[in-house]
Amino acid sequence: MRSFNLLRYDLKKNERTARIEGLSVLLLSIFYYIFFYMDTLHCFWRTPTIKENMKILAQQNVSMTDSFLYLTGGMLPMQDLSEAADVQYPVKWLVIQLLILFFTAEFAREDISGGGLQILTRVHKQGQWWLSKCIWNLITVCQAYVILFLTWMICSLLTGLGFRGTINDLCFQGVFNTSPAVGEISAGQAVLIFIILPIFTTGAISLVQMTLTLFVRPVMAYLISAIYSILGIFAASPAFLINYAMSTRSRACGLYRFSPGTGLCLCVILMACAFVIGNMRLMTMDIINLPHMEKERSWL
Amino acid sequence: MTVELENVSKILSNTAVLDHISMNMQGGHVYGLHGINGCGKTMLMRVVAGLIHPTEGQVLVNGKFLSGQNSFPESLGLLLENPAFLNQFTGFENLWLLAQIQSRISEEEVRDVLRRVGLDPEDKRAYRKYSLGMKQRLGIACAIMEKPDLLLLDEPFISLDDDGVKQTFQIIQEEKKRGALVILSSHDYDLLTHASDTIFHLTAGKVTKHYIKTEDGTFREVGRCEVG
Repeated sequence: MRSFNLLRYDLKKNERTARIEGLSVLLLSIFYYIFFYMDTLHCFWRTPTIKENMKILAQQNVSMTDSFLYLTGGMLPMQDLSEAADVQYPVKWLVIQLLILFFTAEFAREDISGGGLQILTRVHKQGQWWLSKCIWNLITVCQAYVILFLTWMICSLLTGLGFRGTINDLCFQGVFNTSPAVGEISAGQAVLIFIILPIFTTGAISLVQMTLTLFVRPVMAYLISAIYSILGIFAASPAFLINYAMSTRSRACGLYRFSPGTGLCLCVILMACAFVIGNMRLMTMDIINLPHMEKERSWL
Repeated sequence: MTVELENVSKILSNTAVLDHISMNMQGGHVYGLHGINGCGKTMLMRVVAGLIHPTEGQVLVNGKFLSGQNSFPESLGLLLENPAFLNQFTGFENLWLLAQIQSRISEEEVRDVLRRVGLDPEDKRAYRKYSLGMKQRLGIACAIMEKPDLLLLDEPFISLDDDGVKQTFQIIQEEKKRGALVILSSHDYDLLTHASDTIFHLTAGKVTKHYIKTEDGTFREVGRCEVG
């Protein structure tokens, strides 16, 4: 019951911040879609009006799968460093990851000083407090992705992209500099690699980041998470969980071998480890009064 | 309610911030901690609250060690240094949000405690617009609202006007009569003698002097830390 009450407290406390975060994700999503539309759809089939463009897109069989591949595809792994000059780095995709990690970077830390001590001492058991922080962290990650994906879906529908699993060759080549290995993916695979895996992957990294803030300052924890995410772009290895958030690296797309099932298991394992380590750390750490945080976010 | 410190020391960055402190404290009494800034008053309170783990020794609250998953006393009211609440909510909203975590008191009781500390429960101003004195009063209200058995007040008189100081004295005496164990700290010795039954004087993390209030209201020094 106390965990539920604590979650309710977190909901109330973070209401305003959640609105700002949601709005920023919404605006980013719209901006990205405009970019996608102008850069990809309109670029390939230049037509005077959006209505004509939509007809062409339907004829060319451009679907929502193509738009989601643009959003979540990331980057195909480089075979060697000589490709570095030519490859298109997944900057937009990376900004989404780093933005969500930014939202959650300070969660636990801000609640173990100042007014947060009132919460901690009322909950009595560190495990309950830590669990509620982890749940709140995952809720924030989910909220960001739900807004992102819903906005993207609505924009896709408004521009005439249907719910189909087909992958358009021209669109794919334009973004990833190579042809797709498969012409179609199933609905189940699409949900898994476009929606579920990015949420789980970012959620796991975000929980690890939050656990790190119990050991180092939030800015350092954020830097570590950011560097880990960036390195994962270049290193196609299961050790870098972020690979599972890039849909083009999934086995479902046929171009690479990251298994969605393995990705999900690794995420769950990492989340569990983050929870256990955080809980153990809380039981032994000294809660020394940090400088009183006057601002909403005070990282240093 | 009893609190026992058995040979408690705390070392931070190679410095003994608490140095072999032993105390026995009982409910229904007010214990004052006196000393200059940095002598260990706040650190001692943090150890009793379970926020800091002693390097040596142990803390028992009602006979139970503070450790592991149960490192905070069950019934604790806390005012540590600068109180901090949520800027966007009123004083009442802040306290009610906190009260709902343990669900031990009603909205009316929250309103009562705000009146007790001299704040208006119907005040619509957000916390960010409170003066320092109002923030301090809200911090005291937060500490006492759930009628805790153990009350830790670190520098409760800071930023308070004369009325606020008088109200705080009254609150401390009321809590003592209710049976709570009150530990308060202040660098102002006059305020402390007025409020406390027993005073521990700290210097560099050690209890160097120990005074007990006599029947005529004066304080006599005792040789070692005695009960009550």
